[in-house]
Amino acid sequence: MTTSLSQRLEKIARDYVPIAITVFFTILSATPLYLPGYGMIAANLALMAIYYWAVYRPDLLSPLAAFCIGMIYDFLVGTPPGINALVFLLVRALVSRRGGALQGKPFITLWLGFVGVSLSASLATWVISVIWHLTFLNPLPIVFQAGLTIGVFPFVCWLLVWTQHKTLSV
Amino acid sequence: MARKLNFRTGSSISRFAAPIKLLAHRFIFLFLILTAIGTMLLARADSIAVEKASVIVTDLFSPLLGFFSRPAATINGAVQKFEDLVRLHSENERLKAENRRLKDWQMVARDLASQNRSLRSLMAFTADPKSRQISARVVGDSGGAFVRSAIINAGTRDGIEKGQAVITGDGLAGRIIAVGLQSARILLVTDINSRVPVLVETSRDRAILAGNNSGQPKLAFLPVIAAVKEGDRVVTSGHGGVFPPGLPVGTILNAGDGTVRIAPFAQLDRLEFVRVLSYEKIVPPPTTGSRILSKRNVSPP
Repeated sequence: MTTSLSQRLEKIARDYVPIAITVFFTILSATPLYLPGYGMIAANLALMAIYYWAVYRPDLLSPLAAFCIGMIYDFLVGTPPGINALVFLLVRALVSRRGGALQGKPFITLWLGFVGVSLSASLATWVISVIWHLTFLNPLPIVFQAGLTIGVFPFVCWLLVWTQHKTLSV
Repeated sequence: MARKLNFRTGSSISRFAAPIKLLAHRFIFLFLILTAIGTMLLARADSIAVEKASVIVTDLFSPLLGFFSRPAATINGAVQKFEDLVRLHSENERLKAENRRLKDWQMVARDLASQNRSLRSLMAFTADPKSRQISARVVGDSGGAFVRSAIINAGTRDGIEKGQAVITGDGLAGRIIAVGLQSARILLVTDINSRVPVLVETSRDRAILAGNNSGQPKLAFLPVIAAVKEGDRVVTSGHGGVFPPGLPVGTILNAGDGTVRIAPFAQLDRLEFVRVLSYEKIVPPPTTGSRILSKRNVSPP
């Protein structure tokens, strides 16, 4: 049985869905909501997508893709370039290694896993930022950001599950 | 024979390629980590390459940011309209009172302006260079906990240049730190890397407004004997030639406990529209030493 050109193109397009969704979330993370103070505690939607795809389809989100998305995030948000590239790369590597343990488990397990990842990523971002700026930075905004990111995760996760079912479950 | 040779070549290539591929997979992770750290170090050293990459990416994504920020801007506009409707009556009364007060001020201002004109002509006074204003919409917010910056939808094609001052209707917001063709990044006065030369309007004491990532930047290098008090207005001093002098910045919050903080006039945490000042910078005259040297070059002994 041979596959037609259109089928092959469709397969390639489907394979890029995780990267496209993660880039889309990265853009949304930098989009202003014009709410007072929201900018500094905006939920890190890109991190949620990186975590989700690292658990379920790490084959479709390579380390290079995680690195590039992190760089885009840094450039759009204005953080020192490289910080989120490094954090996303580490998250992708650690989660994909242990992702099998989270697959097929109840949602609460996936969420708890994300709580650990989000807090660790926030701590890493804070430590790197302090070293980069060579000054002490108030960690409170990133604690709020982590809290908001964890709180929003179930809604974003539902959207990601829906996307995966619609595009990748063939 | 040829087929056999091809087959042998193919198998030997795959035999060599497999471990190389494995090795590449193992080391790509390490390579990317080192690249990320290297980029951070280059950014710390203000590398032009990193800045250019940032400008290209921001330029590329700014139309998308503009598109996605539209619904939020529309909702924000609707909420503000509703708020305006709710306080229509009280706002009208306040504006009427303000109008009466401003009419008195207008008379005083007209009188002072004519006096000023005649005095300036008597003294051959050189006026400050005029500034042109470019309006832009904020399309990218700082989603970082340790950054206070924003992206606007105007760039070099609109006349934006690096270093220009950015204001809102209320006061100074920041300055342009990176410019692309159709987008630019503003470093807000509250960012930890922001330094703006200012002066206290009443006492004329000079200081540097230093951002600290909070909503209340502090005044650094303020003279110890400075007679400043809570509520004093702070404006740009124009020193350094980056910002035009006299731009309203904020009011002094507390001046008693050693650290003087100010409350910016501009609402920096919900910026939507800003104006970029295209300001003709003042070029300092050559120093005495360089003048002597240039004279020597022109007319050697």
